[in-house]
Amino acid sequence: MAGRRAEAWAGVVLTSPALLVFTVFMFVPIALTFWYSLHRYSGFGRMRWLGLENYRTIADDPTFWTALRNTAVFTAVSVPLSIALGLGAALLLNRWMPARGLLRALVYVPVVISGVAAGVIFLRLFDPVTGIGNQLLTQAGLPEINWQGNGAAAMVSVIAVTTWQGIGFGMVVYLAGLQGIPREIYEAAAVDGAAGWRRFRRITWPLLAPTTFFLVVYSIITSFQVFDVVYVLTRGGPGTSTTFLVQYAYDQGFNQRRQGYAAAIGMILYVIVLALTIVQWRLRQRRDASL
Amino acid sequence: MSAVGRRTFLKAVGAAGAAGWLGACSSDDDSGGGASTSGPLSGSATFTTWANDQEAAAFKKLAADFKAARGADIKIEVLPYDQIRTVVDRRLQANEAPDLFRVSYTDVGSYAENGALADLSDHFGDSFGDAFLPALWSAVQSDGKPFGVPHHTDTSALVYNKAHFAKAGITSVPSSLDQAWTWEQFTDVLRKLKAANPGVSPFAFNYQLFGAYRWFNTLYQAGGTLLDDALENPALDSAQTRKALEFTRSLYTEGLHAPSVLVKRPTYPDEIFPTQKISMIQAGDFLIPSLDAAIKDKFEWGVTYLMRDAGAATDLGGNAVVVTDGAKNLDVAAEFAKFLVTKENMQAFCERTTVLPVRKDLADAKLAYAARPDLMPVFQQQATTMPEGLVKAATSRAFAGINQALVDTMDQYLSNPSAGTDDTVRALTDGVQKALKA
Repeated sequence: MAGRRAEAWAGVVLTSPALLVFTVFMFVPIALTFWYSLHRYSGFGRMRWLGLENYRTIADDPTFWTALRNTAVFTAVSVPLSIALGLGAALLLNRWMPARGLLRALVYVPVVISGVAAGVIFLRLFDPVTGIGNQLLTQAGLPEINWQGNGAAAMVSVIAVTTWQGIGFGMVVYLAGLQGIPREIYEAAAVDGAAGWRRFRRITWPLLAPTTFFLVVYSIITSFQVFDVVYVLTRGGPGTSTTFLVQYAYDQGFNQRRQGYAAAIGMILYVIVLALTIVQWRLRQRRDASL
Repeated sequence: MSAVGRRTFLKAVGAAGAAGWLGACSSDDDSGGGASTSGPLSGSATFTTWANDQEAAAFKKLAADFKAARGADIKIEVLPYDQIRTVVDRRLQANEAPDLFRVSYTDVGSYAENGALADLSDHFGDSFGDAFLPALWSAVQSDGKPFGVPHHTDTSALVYNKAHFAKAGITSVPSSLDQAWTWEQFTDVLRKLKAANPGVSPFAFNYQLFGAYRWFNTLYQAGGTLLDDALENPALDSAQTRKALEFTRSLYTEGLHAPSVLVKRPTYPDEIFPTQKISMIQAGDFLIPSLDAAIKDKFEWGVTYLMRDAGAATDLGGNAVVVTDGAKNLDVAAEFAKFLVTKENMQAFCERTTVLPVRKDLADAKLAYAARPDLMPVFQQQATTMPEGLVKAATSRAFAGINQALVDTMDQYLSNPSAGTDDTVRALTDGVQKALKA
């Protein structure tokens, strides 16, 4: 009995640092965000109780729905794209080749560049008046693109930058996954005559499923939280063409001084990401159980 | 400068506030129109501002002069223009606000009504405000209480590249307000510039983000109005608004306006103009020193009057300095605010930074502007075309929200040739209505 109690105390002691960190940096901010979302609050001055009014306003706010749709489109395009390209880079750079280390580093460099810096770089590149992007298009005899004045082009520019930044991360994670696949399986497959595409489809891809699952969950969460690149590159414009949920929450909270409303958007974002993660988790469990 | 021009301008701005100020006595008291203290002060205060090089130097000089005169230190903190509002807000939230900060007239009301600013009635005295243009003095008040001082004003005109004009065969520009280009003449000029200068955008407006309200120049030029006379309802549902919107968009669709220069993105035309990628921009007089420094001898440039349609119109710009409610050294902060707007100091600041003073007793002063003094008469004369209704609206509490309505709406319209003008008018009206009711 005494041993069990000591064990329980040891558990509490050992988990308390992590619990403390989670409480201070996760649970308390989430609770405070919910509390703010029930108020009208400019960020300074007095808070006024609104109950669920902010949530009712969101339901009738067309810009919120536009931001949600934009975020979904952005996620639907950028997540598969960056994962696929990351996988392609990993498969390519998993085999021996000259300067393999250098090439891996080059693909990974965008990951360590801050979103703001990447945004500034591409802001210059995509500027329709002074940017080198349109100058190259013109020299190639192609029509100029109004990257920031045209909604679709602006969305493409944001997806391009975030994908560029995401490939390196996908590559590194997939490289780790690839190196965890036992060579014996490939050797057995070779004996059975499986090679190329078939080997990839039957061995590599299924055995990379946990890696892919992790990347999909992680990428979806980060896609829903995308902000820095958008803030620098388009500010959510033109109009609301590239306004995503976090950008919209920032705009409401800091530009329009509607921090309660912004907190309500944040809570909705939290619920969406949580729901997506649970759904993916359940799918993954079901898939594992069926194997 | 043109004394007549300045008087007319002052009348225009003055008309928006308490009537009859022209008959009021100008005060010889350098601290303003009211009671002043001049004893020694102790401690320090922090003044947070955005500033170009000239403004930063002018503020530092004033802080040094204040230290010499009163003994208190003023720490000048310069932040980027785009960030100052957010930074000050967060510091207010954390009770770490600066003692004073610089703020546009359009944003004072929102800080005041949220209780962020200190009531300076006791520091200023009853007649202090008599020294200033009534509209701008009222812009730093809420419920009759002063929260700061009006520091200067500024306005927009057309800045153009002389080499590009010569290449397009445009040998002269309007030399007086009544000769200003009509919208049709202006569009013809842009077409010539486009034809003669391939790869260069003929023009760009300066209506980005917090300056989105400068689009109202175009609205008022068309004869439109933002609000009704009582300033209680939007008056945007008019043929004039539709005409102004369609004129603005036509510049984009015809390729006469820089395509990347829109409302929501911080791509400022004055940053592109020195690269000679834009031939002409609408720009504020406060940009003259930075344009002069960036362009140097690369090309010759000049200034002419804004285009007109039913009439001429330009915007009321400029900034105030306000004291925060939680100022750690309220006495020093209030006294420094007063020090900034003495006749001598306001004149020195305006001359160094090429902006317009807001004291009545500088109405007839001949200011020796430090950078391109040859250009300032155009801005001074242009300032006389500030519409009274726009001045009143711009100094109202709702104006920050009205500006935001433009930021939220205009890009959709300007960047999309198929966007409906009526829908845009409706969206603008809704946005302005929301701001008025907030």
